[in-house]
Amino acid sequence: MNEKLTTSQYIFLIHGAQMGVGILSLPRELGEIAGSDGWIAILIGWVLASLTSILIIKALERYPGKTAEEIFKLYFGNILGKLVIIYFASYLVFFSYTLMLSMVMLLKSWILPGTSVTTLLSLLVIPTFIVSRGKVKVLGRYAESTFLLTFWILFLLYIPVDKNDWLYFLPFFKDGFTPIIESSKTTVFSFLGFEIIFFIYPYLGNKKNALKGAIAANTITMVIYVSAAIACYLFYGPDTIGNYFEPVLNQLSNIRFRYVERIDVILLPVYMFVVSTTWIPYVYFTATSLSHIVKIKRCENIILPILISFIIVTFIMNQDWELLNKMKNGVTFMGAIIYVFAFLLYGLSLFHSQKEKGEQLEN
Amino acid sequence: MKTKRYLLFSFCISALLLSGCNDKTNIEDITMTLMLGIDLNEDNEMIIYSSNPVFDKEVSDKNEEYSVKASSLREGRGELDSLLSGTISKGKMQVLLIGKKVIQHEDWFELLDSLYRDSFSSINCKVIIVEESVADVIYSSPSDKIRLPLHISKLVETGDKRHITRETTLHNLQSDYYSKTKTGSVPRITFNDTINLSGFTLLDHNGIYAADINQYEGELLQLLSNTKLEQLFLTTKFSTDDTNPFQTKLLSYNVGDLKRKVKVTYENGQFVFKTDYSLAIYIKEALNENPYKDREKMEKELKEKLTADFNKLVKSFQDNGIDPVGFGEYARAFQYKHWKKVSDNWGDAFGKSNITIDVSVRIKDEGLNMR
Repeated sequence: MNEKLTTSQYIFLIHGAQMGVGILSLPRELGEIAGSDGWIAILIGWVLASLTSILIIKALERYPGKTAEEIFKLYFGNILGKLVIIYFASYLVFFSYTLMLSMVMLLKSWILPGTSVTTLLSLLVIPTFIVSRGKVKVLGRYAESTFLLTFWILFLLYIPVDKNDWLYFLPFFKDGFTPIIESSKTTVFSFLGFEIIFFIYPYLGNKKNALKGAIAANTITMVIYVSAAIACYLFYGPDTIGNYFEPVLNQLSNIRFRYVERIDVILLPVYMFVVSTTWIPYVYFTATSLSHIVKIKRCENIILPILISFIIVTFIMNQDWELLNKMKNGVTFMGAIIYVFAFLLYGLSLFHSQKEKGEQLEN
Repeated sequence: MKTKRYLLFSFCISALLLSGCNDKTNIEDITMTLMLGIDLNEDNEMIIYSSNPVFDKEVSDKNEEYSVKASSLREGRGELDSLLSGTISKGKMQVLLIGKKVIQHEDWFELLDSLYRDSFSSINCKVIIVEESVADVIYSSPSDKIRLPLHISKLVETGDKRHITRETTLHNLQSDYYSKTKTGSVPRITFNDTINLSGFTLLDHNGIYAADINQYEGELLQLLSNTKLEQLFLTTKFSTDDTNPFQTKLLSYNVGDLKRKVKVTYENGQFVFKTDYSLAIYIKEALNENPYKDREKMEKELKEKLTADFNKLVKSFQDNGIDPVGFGEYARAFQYKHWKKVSDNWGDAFGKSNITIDVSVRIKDEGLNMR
């Protein structure tokens, strides 16, 4: 507990956890349902995610010195608390594995079709292990530096957009509000990752900045999502955007410089760093959660077994995109429960504080 | 000490895995297809042509060309593989030539599927329609030019700068094909000993051949649509003399800036477009005319001439039921409810709509001469 995160590390850890492979297909998913109004749905997702982040912080505020696992036990009691921890552990491990697998599958179908998924995943496991055993401080530094080194990719998206087809966006609310609300189902889950606040809030040095930081992180994510969606829309237009699985990558493949013919082949591996800021912390926090259930002195000792089990599972399983979609749906479902859980926890914290007040009055 | 051991261990493991990239290919073993051609022969069978550069000093011909009969691009590639010594790589493809016969058939666009589906193919490849036979173009290897695919590619690129043509990549073709507000236009070449850019081939909303326009009309089309102008030169003839060729009255000018306003309303069951184009022009040549003295007269005459030409062009679009300009984008943006009803066939609705074109010309610069 003597490790402290700076506010910027805290912001970029949350933001990093939110940025995954989802953004690559987000413009299409929005376009299919809401057409050019899809970007408005991102704002809805942003509001909901920020709200939930605030509730999480409010609930954790009562026990500033304790880790997430200890707080769960305090709120729910020993047995129920352990169940919650198990749920979080399984969510985190499932999330990180799904993410690693989808990154690897993307690499395979875009760049290295002849290399086996297991080989690629094993290669990713090595840096994951090295970074994640450095504990929270290293994770924070990693997230911060990754953001600073990679955010420029966003601007590249605007290079092929040379025509000013802003007309694509008119009229706003063309088919009413229903499709926007409908597509906000997708966007709400593209903001998943804020639940990392549960685990990093206890390490934050200046707790006063926790709320501001969480909102800042959500806002950075929102700005990136909206600008990516708008760039994709300007480039593909409402009628073509449904053609590709990952329109963002396809758009990058349209960039042509004199010296590089296919820039997407370079950018996808670079983007892997951005995605890794989700799975690396998640692997670490899986280990910390598990260490509260299985009696182990140093939680870093579990990281390697977890990662090796990833490799083994990949080796045994027969992956294809359909299975991956099912896994993604599973992750989304588990994430939906976390939204509910955050609200529940906040309610519980209100109840606790009321009870405390009552007890004080009685005395 | 422990960290170092971990590092060493992980380094060894990753070094072992490096050989996992087993899809590496040596450059000597690759046949790069720089240009691909699709055409139909007399019996309506599809022929696929490929033109590949040869780098060997022993070979005098810079390119090798092959053709096979096939029912799809991918099948054709299999056939080509049996003719070529190297494995075929499509990633560097610069030009896709499509015979005019091909695009007159329904669903020809399906053919290009593999170019979009395969992550290794190049989406930046330029699409060109060939007026006569693709074979003539592919098998012509002019000795005074650089490799043919690169020559054609350069021709289009520089033509695009001067707005003689517009570079249409596979992406543009696909966008136009799926667009519900615009129909496609593809650069066209004719072959007559040399390769000649000659305007555009226009496609209808199903992507099927609709009409051809020549180079001048192609330039007008680019003025009508919101192409970003770099250097667009136009020449307008006012009168010609049959006996003396030097009596021709004409102006050549550079369109420096173009502002376009489009207003769309819906009246009496049809779309009404009111457009306003204001051109700022820079005179580069004036034969038998004096733009300095007669500036207003010149502006008026130019305006009349251009308005007539624009109207004629748009009328021909409407007769063919096509909208290569993209007026439909305005219809969708500002009259969404009415547009939605006709979104299945916008070209048809555009044909029935009422369109007025207003052109205003301002001479910004007459050049250095006073007379």
